[in-house]
Amino acid sequence: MGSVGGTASAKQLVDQYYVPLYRFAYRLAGSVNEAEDLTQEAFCKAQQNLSQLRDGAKAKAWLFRILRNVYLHKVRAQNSHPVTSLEQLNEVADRRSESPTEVDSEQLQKALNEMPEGFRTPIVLYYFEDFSYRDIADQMELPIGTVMSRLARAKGFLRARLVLPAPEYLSAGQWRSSDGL
Amino acid sequence: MDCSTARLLLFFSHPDHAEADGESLHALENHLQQCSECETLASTERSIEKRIAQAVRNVPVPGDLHARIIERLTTERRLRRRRLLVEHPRTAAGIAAAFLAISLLVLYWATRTLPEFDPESRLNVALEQRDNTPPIVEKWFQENHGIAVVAPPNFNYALLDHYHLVLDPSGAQLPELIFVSGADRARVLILTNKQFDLKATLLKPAANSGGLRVEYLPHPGRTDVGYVVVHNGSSLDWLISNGQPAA
Repeated sequence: MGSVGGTASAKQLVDQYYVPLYRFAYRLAGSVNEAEDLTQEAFCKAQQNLSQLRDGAKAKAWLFRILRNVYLHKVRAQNSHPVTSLEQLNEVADRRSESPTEVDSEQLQKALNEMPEGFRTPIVLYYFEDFSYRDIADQMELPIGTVMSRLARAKGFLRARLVLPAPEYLSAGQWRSSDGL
Repeated sequence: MDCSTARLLLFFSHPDHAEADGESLHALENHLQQCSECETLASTERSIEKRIAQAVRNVPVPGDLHARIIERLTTERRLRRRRLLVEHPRTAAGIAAAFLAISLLVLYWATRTLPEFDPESRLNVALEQRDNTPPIVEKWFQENHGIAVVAPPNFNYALLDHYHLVLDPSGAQLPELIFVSGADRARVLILTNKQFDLKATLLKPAANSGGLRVEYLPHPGRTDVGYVVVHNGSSLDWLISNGQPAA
C-alpha cells in the first residue's frame, strides 16, 4: 500500500484490511456484534490518528494493535473474563483419542474465549497468515521468549479443548493470575 | 539432531512459514528422513496445525460490513467537525478565517488582470536611447526615474547600446550603461558617494575571473561620482576616448 502514511485515506485502509481485522476481532471477542463494534471502533481510531502511520508497510500491524487496544479497553471496563480450571481441562483431555479430521469452529471459539487475552491474542495472530513470532512479540510488546512460552501453553490448551492429540511437552495448566490481562 | 530436539523444533514450526533458521530446518528434515517415529509425528503435527490455522481464519464476514464501516467513519468525521465548532469556537473561527483568506487569495489570483506587454513603448525607449551623449543619458534618467546622474564624460558614446536602472546586490538602485563593440562588451554602473564609500572603493584592486574583469574608474574631475566597469576584455582602450570628452 504505497500511499499509506502520507496521503492515505481511512477508506483505503478499510478497503484493504477490513476482512482480516474483522476476523481477528471475531476470534478475540467471540461474537459477531462485538467483532463488528471492535472493527468499526478500530477504524475510527485509525482515522483520527492517521498522521501517526508513517510507514504504509506497517499499516496492518498498526491496525491490529489499535484493535487489540480497543478490545483490552472494553474488557477492562467490563472487568470479566472466564478462567478454565485444570480439572476441566483434564476432563476434555481424556477424550482425545478420537482425533477429528475437521476442527469445529464453534468449539474453537469456545476454547479461545476461555483463554486469558494474553494467550488468546498470540495464538490467534500465530494462526493468521503472516504474523511471525517476532511480529507477535512486537505487537504485544513482549520478549519473543514470553510469546513462545505463551503459545506453547495456549496450543496445549487448544489441543485439549478441541480433543486433538498433543505432544507430551504441551502441558495445559490453569492460567496464573499474572497471565494475560 | 536427537528426537526430543526434533519434536520441539517441529512444535515451534509455523504452519505457514519457517520460524527456525535454515540450518536447523535442514537438520530437522534430515532427522525426519531417518526417524520413522518422528516422521509420523511430524506428519500428524503439521496436519493438525494446518487444520487449526484454517479454522482460526475461517470466519464469515458480514456482507455489508464494509459499507457500515465507511458510513461510521463518515459520521465520525462529521461529529468531530461539530465537536470542534462547539468545544473550540476560537480554533474553528481561526480555521474559517484562514480558509476564507486562502479562498480570496485564490480568487484574486485567478481573476487578476495582467498588464499587456507593449512592443511600441519598448520601441520608443530603444529609439530614445540611440545617438547618445552624456547630457541625453542624464536627462533620460532624470525624466524616467527622477534620478540625478553624472554620466562618464570620457567614454565613447557611439558604442553605447542601451541604459537602464538595475538593482545591485547591495540593495541600491544603480544606473547601468551597456557599451558594445564587436565582441567587446562593458557594463558601466554609476556610483555616488551617497551610496558607497568611493575613497575605499578606489583602493580596491580589480577583480578577474572567468574571462571577466571588474574595475573601478573614478570620474576624471569629481570625487563624488565613480564608475564600476564589468567587461570581457583585457583593456578598456576601446571604450575610453583618450581623455577627450565624449561627443
